[in-house]
Amino acid sequence: MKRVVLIFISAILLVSCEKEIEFKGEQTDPKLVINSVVESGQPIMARISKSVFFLDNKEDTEAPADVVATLYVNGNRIGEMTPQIDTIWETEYYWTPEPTYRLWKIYTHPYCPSVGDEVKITASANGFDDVEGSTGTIPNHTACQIKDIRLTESESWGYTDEFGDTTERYCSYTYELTLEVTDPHPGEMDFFKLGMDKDYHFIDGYEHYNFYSYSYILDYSDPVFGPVSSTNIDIIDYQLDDPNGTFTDQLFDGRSYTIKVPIRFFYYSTIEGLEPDPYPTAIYVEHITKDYYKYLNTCDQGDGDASFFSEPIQTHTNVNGGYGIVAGRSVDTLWVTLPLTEK
Amino acid sequence: MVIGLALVCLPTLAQKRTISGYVMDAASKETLIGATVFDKNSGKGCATNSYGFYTLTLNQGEVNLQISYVGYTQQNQTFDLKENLNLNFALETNTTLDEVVVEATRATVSARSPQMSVVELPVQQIKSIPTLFGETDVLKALQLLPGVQNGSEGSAGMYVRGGGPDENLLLLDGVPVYNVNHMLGFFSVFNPDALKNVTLYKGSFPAHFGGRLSSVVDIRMKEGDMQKYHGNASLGLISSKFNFEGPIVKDKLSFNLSYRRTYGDLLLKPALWIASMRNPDISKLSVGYYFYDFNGKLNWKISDKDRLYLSFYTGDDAIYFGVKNKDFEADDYQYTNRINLNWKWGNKVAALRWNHVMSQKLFMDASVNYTQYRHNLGMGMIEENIYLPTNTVAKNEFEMVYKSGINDITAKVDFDYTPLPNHEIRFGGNYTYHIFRPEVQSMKMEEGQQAMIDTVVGSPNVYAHETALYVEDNMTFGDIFRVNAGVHYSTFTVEGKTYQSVQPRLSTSVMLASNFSLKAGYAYMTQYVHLLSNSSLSLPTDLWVPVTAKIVPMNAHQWSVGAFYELPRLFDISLEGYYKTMDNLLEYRDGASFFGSADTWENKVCLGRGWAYGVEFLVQRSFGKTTGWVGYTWAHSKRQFDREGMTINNGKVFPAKYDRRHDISITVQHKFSDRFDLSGTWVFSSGNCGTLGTQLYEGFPNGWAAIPSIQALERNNFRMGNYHRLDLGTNFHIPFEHGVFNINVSVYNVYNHNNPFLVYTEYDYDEATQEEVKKLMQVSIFPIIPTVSFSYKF
Repeated sequence: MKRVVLIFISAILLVSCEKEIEFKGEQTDPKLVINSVVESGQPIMARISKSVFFLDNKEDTEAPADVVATLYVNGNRIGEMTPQIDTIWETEYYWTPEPTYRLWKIYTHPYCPSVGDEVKITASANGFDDVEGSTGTIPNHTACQIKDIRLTESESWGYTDEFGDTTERYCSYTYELTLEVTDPHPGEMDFFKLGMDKDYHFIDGYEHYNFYSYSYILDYSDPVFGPVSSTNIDIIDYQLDDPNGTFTDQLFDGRSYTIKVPIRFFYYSTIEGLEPDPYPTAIYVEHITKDYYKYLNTCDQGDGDASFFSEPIQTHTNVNGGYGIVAGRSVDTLWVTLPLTEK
Repeated sequence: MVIGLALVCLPTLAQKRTISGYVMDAASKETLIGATVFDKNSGKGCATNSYGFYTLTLNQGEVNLQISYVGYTQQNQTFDLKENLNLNFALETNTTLDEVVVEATRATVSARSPQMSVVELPVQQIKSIPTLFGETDVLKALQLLPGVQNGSEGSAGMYVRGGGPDENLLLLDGVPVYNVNHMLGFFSVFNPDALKNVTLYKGSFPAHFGGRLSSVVDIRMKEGDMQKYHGNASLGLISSKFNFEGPIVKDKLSFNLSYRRTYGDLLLKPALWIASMRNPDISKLSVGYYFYDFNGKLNWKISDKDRLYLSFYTGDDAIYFGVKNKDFEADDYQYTNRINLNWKWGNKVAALRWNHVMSQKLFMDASVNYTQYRHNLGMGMIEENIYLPTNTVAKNEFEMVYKSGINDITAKVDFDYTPLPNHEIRFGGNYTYHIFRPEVQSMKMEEGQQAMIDTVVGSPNVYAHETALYVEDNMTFGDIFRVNAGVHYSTFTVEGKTYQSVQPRLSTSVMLASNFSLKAGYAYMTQYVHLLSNSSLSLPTDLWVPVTAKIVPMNAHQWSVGAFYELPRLFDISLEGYYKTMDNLLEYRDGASFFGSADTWENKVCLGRGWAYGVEFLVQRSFGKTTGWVGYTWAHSKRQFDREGMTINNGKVFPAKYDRRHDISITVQHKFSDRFDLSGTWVFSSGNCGTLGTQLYEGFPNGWAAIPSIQALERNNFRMGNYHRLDLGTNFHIPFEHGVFNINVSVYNVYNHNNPFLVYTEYDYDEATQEEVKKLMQVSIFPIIPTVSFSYKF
């Protein structure tokens, strides 16, 4: 229906006039941006950049060279953070034939915060307002364990050329992962994030697999991730949420909770008869700060909903005087080896 | 309080006599609402109620009554009042061009009345205002009044004193109409041909009104001529209209029927037929959009004391599409494909009303009302693949039906009681049974003989009970001080939870001179229903939902003060200021959109509060050759949503969507002769607000693309350019033996100003510099639009 409405509105707009106008609103000044996810037990790293005016053609977000970033832990000044040059991929897919990248500046400090610490990062530069962001209390680790993982469905198919040789071969495996998470703070709202990553095998700088695991999907369909539109047939406005794996302990305050999530792996090869090798796959359970939870959700909503009628999403920020996020987390990693070959 | 005052005033009762009756049009015997009955000797007067009934208690002795109504010749009667009298007055329509000498005009009564923030617009004046596509429109005429704003350009949506579009109670013959718009809100459902009277209340609400926060628009339909048959037919750019009225039994029973329909879809039919003939793949093609309105009213004068009215309205918008491909045959197969869409939404309203004059001092209005808004969408597709040698049919079928709506049944009784000359008491109550049907969707999909999907999903009906009781007293203390005090009590029961609200109302006026008064008022309002809507456009998917255990009723307090001055036989001037606070207002969360899915609507909205304040200035001239008004509004409207888990804009205060600082409207009609008149409207308003991210910054973690992709947003931080527009219209009236032929020529947006509708950022690639260039673009939707329409009145 949204399409029909948009066509109807477009028909009206077809008779409309369009012209370039001069921006007469308030000319807002650029601000410093701090983006940092502070993890317990890990050195601290922050990307400090600057915002740009939305009509500037040149989107230069590099902060000025005189940025001074200072680290505080539990109110005590630890020291200035050191700028370092790092590489950032600019193309969306790093395996494209000629990936482009640029160098950007990050600020690091070797201090490794502990669970319960509160980390604050401040930044100042000439011509900009001073900014600061605090993680709040870095959450503790979560008691979590994999209870079960089982293959529920497997499928393979391929294509052959005119000579009958296999040119492309695909495999799809669906697993059900059962995971138990225990709420660490009864009576308090806790925030979590569930993620997954495969272990990368690089030979001579290239990822090496007999099968390319070109896609894997964690289906956040468990009720703990909130209502998912796919389970609610919304014919009028059919849309899927864009889940990011964040959840709260609202459903299991003070108790343990068993999360069941389907995982789908897709493999691709050009060699007939080859089965994908089993490789370690990491399941991450992150205990995250509330600000980080809100940031991730507002980011995802902003990316996922382009409704003509809705108000644009305000991305959450906890950086006073500027933009960005200073987040805290503790990460627990659980390993499984996939693919499983038997149900 | 009322009883106390009555006791105080009892001793004055001895020498009083009461005159009561109806004031009506002499020709049609149609009752006149708001007509004035005024005694020059005592300086006392009253106005007829919504059914043309008046009651006036005066001292025994000589009275000099003046009965007047705008557009009618004043009638004077002098007699010796010795006993209670039942007097009906029939006023002649004023056909002369000279200014009518009216010493007790409606405006004088208005200055004397304690009621403020009320504007009455004669339907004839509404009809003469030049409009978009030549379609006269009640709501667009109201938008030209101070304190009333439209939404987007061309939209019939109303935003009154900083309120939202769902905070207006639109009553057609006393029955609420839920969806008042046609064609995405570019036209309203009220066909002016069927209407008799339009009154807007935007503050200081009398106690008999309740249920909405911001305004009440009381629209009354014509009752039908009791004497002779007449009507009119018109042909416009997008619609044609027909109105017919007359007696069924002379002086006893009359009818009034009006019909309006757009005909773009009918004109399109031949073109589609030709298109389908020329296309070898299509055997049948139909596509179109139309809306129609049908109003009807029966008026039965049973006796001098009893009248019965039956009013009804039905109207729909419809979009339809159907295509059938020609049978395609190949390799022993025959393939057929059919697709259809039927999308219809509209209202049905009916009211059965009984007016009974119980005594000269007591008038009763009892009614049973029904109102319905329904929205139905049906889509289907059938594919048939027939294997011809065996005649085996492989059929794929998809069918989807969506329904939503609301039904209300109301029983209501109101009494007008004048126990004492200085007390006009009104009391009554009503009960409404609401049936909300948030949404029901059924979907069926078959592939071959196998049913893939066959399901019905949706929210169950929600049933609610709403009751209201009220009492108000219009009190007069000497010739100087007048008070209208009342209280409105309402309850709303839904899903086992009952909300209740006691709403005090107060209006006062002090006459500082015979033509100058100061007024002040206060009203507390509560609203139990919300409109889920996506935008300023009126979409059929907009859904009315009741309050719930989580979403509590909206409340508003409004204080207003004003000064009213009449320059005799020149202008009525008013200056009003208001301050309004609103609580439990609903606003969509960032990114939330709503398209008919009521399942999770509570999670998509936030509750917050709002403030609105402003000053309104109105100069109005409603008699003579030149009529019209100049209105100016200075206003602020703000919102704050800072409740835990329900924050918008990080809890900071932001301007409401249609917060506009300045609004000016000038409307003038001039009658040059019986055959020619001219009208013009000029409007100016500050630009609408919008949300525009003026700073962009990098997101994190965003390892693969470090581009500034996040907009730093503040709700409604950007204001579009100013809006202004001039419309002109002229009418030529050509008399014939049995009627008058009218030609209306109107031009919308005469100087073709590109008014902003929406603003967006566009990215262009500059070949010369080989760089991306960003531009801010503005879209305007209505350029200069000339329109011609014809009508014949008989």
